Amino acid sequence: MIFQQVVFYCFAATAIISALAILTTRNVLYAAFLLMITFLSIAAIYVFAAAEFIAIAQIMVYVGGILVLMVFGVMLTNRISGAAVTTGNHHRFWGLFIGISFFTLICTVIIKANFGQLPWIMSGRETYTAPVGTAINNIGIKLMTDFILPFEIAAIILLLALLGAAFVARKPQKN
Amino acid sequence: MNTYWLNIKYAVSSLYTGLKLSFRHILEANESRKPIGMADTTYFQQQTGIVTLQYPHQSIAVPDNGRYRLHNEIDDCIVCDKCAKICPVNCIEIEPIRAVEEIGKTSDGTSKRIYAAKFDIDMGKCCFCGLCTTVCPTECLTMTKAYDFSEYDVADHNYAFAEMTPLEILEKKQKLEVFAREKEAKAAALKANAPKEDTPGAGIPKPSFKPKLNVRPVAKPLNIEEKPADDAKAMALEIMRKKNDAANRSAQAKPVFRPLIKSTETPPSIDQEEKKEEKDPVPAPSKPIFRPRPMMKKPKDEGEAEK
Amino acid sequence: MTTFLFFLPFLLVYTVFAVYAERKVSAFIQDRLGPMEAGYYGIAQTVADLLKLLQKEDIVPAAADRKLFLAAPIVIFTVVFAGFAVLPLTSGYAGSTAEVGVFYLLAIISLDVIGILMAGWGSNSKYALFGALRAVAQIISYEIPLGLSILCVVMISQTLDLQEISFQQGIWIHDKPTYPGLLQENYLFGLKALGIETTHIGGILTWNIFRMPLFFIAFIIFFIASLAECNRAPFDLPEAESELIGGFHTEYSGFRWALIMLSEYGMMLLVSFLGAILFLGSWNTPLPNMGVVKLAEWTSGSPGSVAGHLWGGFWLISKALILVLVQMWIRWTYPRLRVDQLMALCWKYLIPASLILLLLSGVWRLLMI
Ligand code: SF4
Ligand code: SF4
Repeated sequence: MIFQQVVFYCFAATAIISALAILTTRNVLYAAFLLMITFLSIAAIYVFAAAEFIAIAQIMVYVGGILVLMVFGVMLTNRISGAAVTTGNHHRFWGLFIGISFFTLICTVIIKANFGQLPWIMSGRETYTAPVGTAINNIGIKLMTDFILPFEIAAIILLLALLGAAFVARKPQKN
Repeated sequence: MNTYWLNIKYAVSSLYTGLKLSFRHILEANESRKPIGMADTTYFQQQTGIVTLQYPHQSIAVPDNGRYRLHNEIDDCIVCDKCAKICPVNCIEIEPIRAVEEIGKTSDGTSKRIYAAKFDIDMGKCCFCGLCTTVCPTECLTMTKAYDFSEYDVADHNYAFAEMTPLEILEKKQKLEVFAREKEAKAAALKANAPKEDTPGAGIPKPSFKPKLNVRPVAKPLNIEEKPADDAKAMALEIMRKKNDAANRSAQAKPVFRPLIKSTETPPSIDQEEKKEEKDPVPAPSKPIFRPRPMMKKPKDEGEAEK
Repeated sequence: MTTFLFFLPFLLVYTVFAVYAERKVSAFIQDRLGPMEAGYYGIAQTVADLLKLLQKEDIVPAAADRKLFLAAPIVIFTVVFAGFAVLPLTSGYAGSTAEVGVFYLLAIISLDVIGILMAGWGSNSKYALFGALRAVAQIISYEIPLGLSILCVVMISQTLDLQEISFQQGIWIHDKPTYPGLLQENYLFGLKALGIETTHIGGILTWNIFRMPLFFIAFIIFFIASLAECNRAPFDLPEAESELIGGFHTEYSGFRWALIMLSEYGMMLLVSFLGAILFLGSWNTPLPNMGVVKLAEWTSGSPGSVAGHLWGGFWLISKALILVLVQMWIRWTYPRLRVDQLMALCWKYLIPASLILLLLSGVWRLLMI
């Protein structure tokens, strides 16, 4: 157990340090690559929470998809404008203020909340079975039963986005 | 929509054809071309299989009339300078020294009157056009079938065919000087005696021939200075000289002459060595007058040299 | 869990011989001899090349972004090697038995892009940048047909676990403790209505490509997309020696270049393993039991036994290596695609086809129950 804790804290520290580094670096591209490290270490933490599926989805969607598009965009704009893309700090006071107040808010709420009394955790304790081999099945079954509506709505939104992209990208009509 | 399916059909069939083709070549790769030359009747028979040879280990026999590296049979050269003149890339360098009398006959009976202090062919520059061999009046300059003569040092591409030692060169030059001085003195005396008879030029033998000789050596150094491309050559010469110096020092010490004859010193070339080998069995004095052309004799020696 | 102890040396040795094989295959296709000098029949040529590469200076261009430039090859190799973590090697010896194995591999393949982007950007050279941009556009596009064709298999197998998928394709289908809802017996072409049970016949008949005959097309789509993912010809636009002088690895030399080469060949091996596991019966023997001639049992030991390990490893590795050879054969047969052809092939042909296959797989799965 102690080994796993050490590994967990390592990943947590990596996530926090790289997140802080994103804030301090002025090079947007470095920030993007640091963001990748943050995502990966968060994915590792998901694995520790026995949520492999989420971890992989995180890597696939955020690192493989969104991040690559971001870096891609930065590269193109940089080469076109000719100047290095950098970030600056604006509104330091308000930024710090809002950030810190949200942080304290969330911390107090988390500490105050009594997670142990949540019904699904209670029931999970009673019928505890090893989560091996069933998580994905459960996710699939849940998606197709309890959460079918949000799932389908998400699917339709994605389809619309795809259609929109195709519409924007198509050749102008001749007439 | 129709083109869509046609595209797929075409793509599938052409991709399949391509794969079949390259797979056939993989299968055929178990047979390989034999190192047989053009002369062989089966030369064109093998159409499939691996076509390359492992060159240094195997090689295709070159026909005897192959036209590759030049060779000059210096004993037959009358140093007429024709080859140097015709050469389109100026890669033949000749330094003639007039002899005071006929110095011998070539194998076809032409009389030789000029020594070749230097007869260099830079194979690195040669474009193997063969013009020099066609103009050569005594057919001593020929192309041989040796084609693999790569070197580690670019200076080694310069083949020296002249066989005179620096001592001989100096001797001949002095002889010529003495002869010229005597002749001048004679001419002056003649002039003093009968100035009117001088104008037809009967007194001086072959005045037209002499300037020709002088022009070349004078023109050459000028060229070297002008052309930037010759810097490389100068460098190569420098390297050559250093090498030669070292070689000479170890072989035979002639430090006295070295500064004087810088440009005439050339590295001992393969051809010279070959020639020595070739000459050894044939005693020089008993040279037949109608000797077979060196080209015909070369193959054996060079074939051996390759191996 | 310890398969990386096998895969790391295997990958290195494999790369050495794969480079040699690549040169020989290309030579034979072009009626040449290929390397012949170093060692018997040139066998040590790659070793010699490798020694030369390791001795070379590790040049970092002055204008390069030093940190990214130095990190990129390591990222690329790490990512590719991480992919091997979930591969099963034999019936009793698998890597991480993560139940999301297939999904993980897809994620890993998309991570490869990051390393390529770092290399392309960090080099600060127009060739490298062009190569990287092309690589990204290509890999992101081809991830879709790749993912869809893998999804077809997942749909039939009803699991993301590679070891589970392997067990389903052979005679040892009952040997894996599993959860309800998975198939327990195989039928010819997966059709229960035909009534020919192949559970105990095994061999090639229970491979996925036979359980669902349309998987032949799915496999071809998978193979094409995997070629594009590895940046192999005819999809080697990101490297395109003739126009980009090597693309994203133009500026690399010495050890780092060797590392990039190693990851390229590692990626080839990875997708070949994946293809073999998903479509070609994984570590199962291709020989079926025929009456008393129990070829399938003779050529594959029961899971966990020594024979099971040896036969399993042998079949899986030879299948993967054959696929690698096919990749080489294809590379030296076809010319490189143009960018628009590349995109047209992906979006107009492969994606619609794989979508239809996905639908058909769903239908087929219903017929299998
Ligand atoms: S072959 Fe042509 S280029 Fe060569 S030396 Fe003779 S004339 Fe000059
Ligand atoms: S043309 Fe022939 S004879 Fe005249 S100088 Fe050249 S090699 Fe000698």
